Amino acid sequence: MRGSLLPLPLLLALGACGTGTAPDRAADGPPLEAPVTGPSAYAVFAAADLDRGWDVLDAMDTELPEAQRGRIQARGLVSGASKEMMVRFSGTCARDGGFVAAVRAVARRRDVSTVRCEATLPIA
Amino acid sequence: MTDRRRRIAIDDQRFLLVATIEEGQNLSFYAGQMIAVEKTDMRPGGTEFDFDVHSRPTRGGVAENIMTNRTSLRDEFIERRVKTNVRGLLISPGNAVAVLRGKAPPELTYGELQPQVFRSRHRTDPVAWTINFRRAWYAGQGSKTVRRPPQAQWATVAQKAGRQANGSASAGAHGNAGPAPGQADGGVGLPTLDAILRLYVREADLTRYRPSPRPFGTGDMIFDQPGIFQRLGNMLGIGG
Repeated sequence: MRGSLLPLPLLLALGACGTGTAPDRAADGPPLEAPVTGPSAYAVFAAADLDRGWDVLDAMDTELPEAQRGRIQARGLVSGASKEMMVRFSGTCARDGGFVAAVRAVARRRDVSTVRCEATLPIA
Repeated sequence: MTDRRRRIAIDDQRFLLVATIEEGQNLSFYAGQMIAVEKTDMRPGGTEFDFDVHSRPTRGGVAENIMTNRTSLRDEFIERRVKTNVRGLLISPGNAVAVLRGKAPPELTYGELQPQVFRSRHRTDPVAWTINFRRAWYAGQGSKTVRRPPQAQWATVAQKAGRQANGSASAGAHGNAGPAPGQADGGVGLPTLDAILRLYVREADLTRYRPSPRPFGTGDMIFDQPGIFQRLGNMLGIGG
């Protein structure tokens, strides 16, 4: 009777020594952040000051075509240390679907002449 | 119309608008220890926002990766989860539980519903933040106030809903969301297109602000830690 119970502590000890399963992030992905589905890129322009930059960014709500408006993901400063502003949109610079051109048109009406497309933000 | 406020004062602190985040999107960025997030929806009626704010320490100026297991991560998530709305609860049930358990949620230092101030527990300079704006429900005046052409709106809503389905798949393991509220109020119950989160940083922290091109957490190690009986079952070949 005693002998038949002997393997149990041994098994428990062995079980405690085992390693966990391999890191498995594919099961449910990064938990803290929603996955970025699909590529995104940045339309970047330099503004004379932050207020004028925000004027351009805010104008996109009303002046961008509906299809382009729906592709905006986030807007704001490229960094607090610069006066560049960015619009993150779904798409890539090579296949922007006319997004950057539409942003450029909005910006030109507010005296911002240069809007460029960046695949990623510069890491300061 | 867009809310044009770009400078706000909360208590004696001055905050500047640095970014806006669309529904279904997230933004990772570096900033100081304190940020303010404002929920904006200019339509009449109420809108419920489902978003969460996370902070993590930095080392050498970049966000630290985390090595943890799912259980710790779930606790962490509950601790930090913030769900609120324009005319409803000030503090989410998850945060209330965290408070009762002696864990401090992000401090809601401001007595009003918007904007909210979030103060990180981390003391590094800068602090890495992620705002994850899952979705919003408009529970206002119903379809009469929908301004956009129906065709265009449905197309875009479907796209956004698709993105959210992907997003909520990852969040499901952490007790996310639940049923969509607000549908009984005459609202269409679809994700709205006009809900935006506005991010402010303290004026003194402005030079610390920069968005991250990649979400934080891509280098995290997250693993399962099976319990003793699960291991025993695995060894004996029983159970999953």
